[in-house]
Amino acid sequence: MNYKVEVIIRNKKVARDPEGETIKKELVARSSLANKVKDVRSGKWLLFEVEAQSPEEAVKTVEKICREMRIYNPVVHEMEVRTHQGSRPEVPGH
Amino acid sequence: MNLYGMQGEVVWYKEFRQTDWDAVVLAGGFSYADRLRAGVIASVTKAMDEVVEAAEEGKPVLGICNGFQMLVERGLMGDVALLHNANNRFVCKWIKVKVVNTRTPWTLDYEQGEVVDMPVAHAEGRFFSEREPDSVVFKYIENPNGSLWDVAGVHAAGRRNVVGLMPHPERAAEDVLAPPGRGPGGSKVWTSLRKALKSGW
Repeated sequence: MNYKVEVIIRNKKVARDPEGETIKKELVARSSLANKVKDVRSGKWLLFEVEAQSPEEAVKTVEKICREMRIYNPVVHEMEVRTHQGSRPEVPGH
Repeated sequence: MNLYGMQGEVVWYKEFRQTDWDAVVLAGGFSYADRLRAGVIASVTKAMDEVVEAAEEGKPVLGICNGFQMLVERGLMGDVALLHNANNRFVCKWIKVKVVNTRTPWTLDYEQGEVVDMPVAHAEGRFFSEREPDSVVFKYIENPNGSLWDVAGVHAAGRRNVVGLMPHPERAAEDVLAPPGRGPGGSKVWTSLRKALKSGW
């Protein structure tokens, strides 16, 4: 069965995030709702389609690949791996 | 090409065998369009397996700019990272750097603490580490990218034959390359290498 697994990679809090800072300072700040926004962080989002027996196995597979192949750099990034919301088994013909 | 009395060649990455060479320079530029992160994809190529072998044999290895990013992404430089510049832009300018470690084959011709001119040209050069490493070789006097502790270049973890830096010593190797008011601050990188290859280091 194929599962969709998403990966979010972003800088750890200790490392500054110039893109997030610029979005907050130059775009969010111009919004009428700006005072509600406390922080903006940017990152990278990847969507994997993985063959596995279960969603847990699909997530584990992706985590392993991301670690092994340094798709994220553990020195400076934090990574979130989870099944993609709304993901469901692919129905043939759809 | 003959540079500073040394014979060099630009080698296509698929044809690179480290056993053919006494030293390796990973030049700057771009690799794989900087996809995912600068240098990360090049860092897992067969050519980089050869570079790791050269490094382990103790051969002088220098990574400049994208070459430095490859060494970092390969994990050769310890627990460090090169992030997007603090101003989130590509920075291309001449800056001053200080040589803080002359005990490498790439810097032995400099005076300890010597301040020299070199250009930088990168978008992902902001040095990051959880704590200041003891492997710093070059520091910015004019920090162009928000690097922590003004780090411009380091040697590999536990290996002084492998050095990486964001500034471009090859673009500051001769008088004719330096703009008015700046000097060829990179030339001693090459005279250092010549000395190191000739008489050890």
